[in-house]
Amino acid sequence: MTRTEVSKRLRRGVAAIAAGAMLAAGLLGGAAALDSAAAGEAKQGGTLIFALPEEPLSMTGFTISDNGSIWAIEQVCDSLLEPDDSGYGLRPALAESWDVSDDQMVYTLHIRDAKFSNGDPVTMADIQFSLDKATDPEGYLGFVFPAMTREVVDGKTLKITLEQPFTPLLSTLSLFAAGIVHKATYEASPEDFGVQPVCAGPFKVESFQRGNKLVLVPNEHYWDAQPHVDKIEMRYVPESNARILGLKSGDFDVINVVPLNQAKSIEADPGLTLEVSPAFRLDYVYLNHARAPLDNEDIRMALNYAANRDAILKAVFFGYGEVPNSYMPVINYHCDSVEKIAYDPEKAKALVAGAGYDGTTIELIAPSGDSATRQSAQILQQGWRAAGLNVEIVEFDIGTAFGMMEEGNFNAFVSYITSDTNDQDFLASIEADNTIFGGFFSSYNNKQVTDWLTEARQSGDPAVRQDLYCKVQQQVYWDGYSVPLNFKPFVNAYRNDVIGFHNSVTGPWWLKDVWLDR
Amino acid sequence: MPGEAILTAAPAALWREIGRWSMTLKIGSLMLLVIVLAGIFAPVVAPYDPYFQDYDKLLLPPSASHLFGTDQLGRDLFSRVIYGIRIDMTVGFIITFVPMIYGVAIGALAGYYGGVLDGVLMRLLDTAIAFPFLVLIIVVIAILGPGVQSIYIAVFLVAWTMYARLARAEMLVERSKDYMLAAETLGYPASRIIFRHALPNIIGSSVVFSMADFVLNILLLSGLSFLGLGIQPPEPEWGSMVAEGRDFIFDNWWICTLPGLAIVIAGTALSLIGDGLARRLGQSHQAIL
Repeated sequence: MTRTEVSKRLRRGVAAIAAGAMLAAGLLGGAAALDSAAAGEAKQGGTLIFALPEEPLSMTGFTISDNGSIWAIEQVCDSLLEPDDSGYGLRPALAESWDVSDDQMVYTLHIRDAKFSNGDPVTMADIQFSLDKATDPEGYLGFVFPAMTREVVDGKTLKITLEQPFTPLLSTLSLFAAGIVHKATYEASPEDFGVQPVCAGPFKVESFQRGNKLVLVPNEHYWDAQPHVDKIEMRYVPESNARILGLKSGDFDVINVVPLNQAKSIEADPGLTLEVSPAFRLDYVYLNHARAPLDNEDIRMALNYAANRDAILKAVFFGYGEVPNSYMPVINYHCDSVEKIAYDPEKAKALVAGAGYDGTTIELIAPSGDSATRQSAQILQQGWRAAGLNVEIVEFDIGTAFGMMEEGNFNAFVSYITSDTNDQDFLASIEADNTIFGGFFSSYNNKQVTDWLTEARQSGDPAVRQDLYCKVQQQVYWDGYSVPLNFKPFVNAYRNDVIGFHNSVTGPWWLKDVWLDR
Repeated sequence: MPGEAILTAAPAALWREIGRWSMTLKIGSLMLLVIVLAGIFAPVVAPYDPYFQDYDKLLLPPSASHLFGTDQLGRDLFSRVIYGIRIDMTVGFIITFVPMIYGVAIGALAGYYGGVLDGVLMRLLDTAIAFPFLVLIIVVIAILGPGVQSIYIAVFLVAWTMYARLARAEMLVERSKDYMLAAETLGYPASRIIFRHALPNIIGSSVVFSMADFVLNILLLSGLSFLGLGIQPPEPEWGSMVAEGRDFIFDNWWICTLPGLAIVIAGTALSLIGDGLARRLGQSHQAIL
């Protein structure tokens, strides 16, 4: 057995365990180490063909939030830091090191000598410009960045001073949205930049045909080791059956977002590897507490008790995932000790009867064209109707549905949330701190929770933060904040001769480490 | 008169009329009759509750206890297909024949009076045709929310145009015929001339077209539900069953294939009737001439 085979077997084993138990960072770090060991004997060259379910729309990180674009930008644009292989930690990117002051208020980042894909050096002006765009409160992800002043100490040093302690700062600087762009090119035309970006990542864009494919080639000016493959084709293949057939026939090397009902057949195929890896993702039903009848906590808890999550896990997710015990994904301060809300139809009935429910219709929105959420909705509807609630499923296209959410014009919406950073604070605050994002469409407002979250955000002591986040999780989850359905993992599949591919827990994958054993 | 032969066939004369039918018309009508009866008596025909989800019976292949198998939520597919008749045939019927009624009326008036009225109605028609249907229905859904009422409104806005064109063209031909001139000379009111004398002669092509339209409308409804714009789950609509089964087509072919087959069978029945009617109406037309 060659070393490669050993590592592949181990990795598969690790993926399988992780799927069951949502492992902590340590073991996954081990898997990552095996990957880089394998990379020592990596073969160079070849074209990697990756079939995506969502198309990249633009390569400008400041203006997008769709997965297709994020996946592509991650390969092309480096930020100051980046998530490590597992996604739980951070590693240097354009900043080669950093210091944090004792009071957690001043961050000093030491920038490395790096070049953009056009050969120009990465200057402080570029970094300042990019961070100005990223942290602009009017910008798309501006709200995740705290108030800060940035100061150029010298050509290699950037000093960031916060107004209040904000522990997740480094995580937010690793976001795709904080990618460093070539200022002159971007300013010349942001539209053209979206098609032909100039960044300092491992790959650069060779050609980009919207709605068809994006072709990447190695950036010869990249600051770190050159990628192994000669070319990457990211093809947009929205139909999941077509992605699976393409993978099986050898047209594609890697596919992501595997339809779960077909995961078993991929596992059974000796030429293919199924990767199940933990994700900062929670599938859940958004509830609007501002609107009757969901303003009533008893009704919200009845929805929770009458939600047959085991049936959903079996019929919709085919066993991939875990019934949640939280209102948010499993991130670094997740609390295992919070008790799950059990499936208890009788209790739900009693709660509805006691709440003085007047028969107001609860509209359950499911995004159209998504058969998995449509099925979840139908299972929920059967349970909720049995509990005495009047529930109608309505399907809207995703754009309309989000628009309705933003206007507060909804009761319940089957969807999910993912975290782009590896710090608990990002989602905990967005979802539950009413002063940050209004409770993320829920209108949830609990002064105590807001205080706990503020304290946790400003505390540098992990033990204190862990304790506070446990309290928040217990409180918000048992307030019937939402109806959590599943901690859904990432499920990807690739041909066995693709080595070194794996999904980081925040979502992206790095193709610079991937090589082809052929 | 050809139209009246069909429209006013008394029960006693029905068998004689059927005797003149071509084989396609007979087979099509028989198929449609069976489908409609199965829909009406769905609670008797269907062995299970079409909504009941049994999580211990997920994705069972067709067998004696589940003729069409079960779907991804453990519901009996045969029962759902049978109950689906009620939805697809009812909605299909309404969105075909309601626009036909006022479409023919508009066309007949435009053709009879001509002039300014004709000009106004036909420009209105051009406007309705010019508007892309899918965009229209998405707009209506954005205003009213998804569901059958949005489909009705969107379809009612555009579907009358074909009938109006057909009726207008036929009316232009009939307008100058002797029996029409005779009726006018006798001083009959316009309403009587148009609806009693002209209508039976101009409606034939619309009736034939309506059968093809019915098929297209069932496909339209299925298509909209497939896209999530039509009938909402958990209602057993054929198109939405096909949509839900699409992800399972490799391992569980029956979930989308068998409801799809129901669409094909209903469509075939209506197409056969349409063909048969065209021939039957053509025959009587020749017989009269």
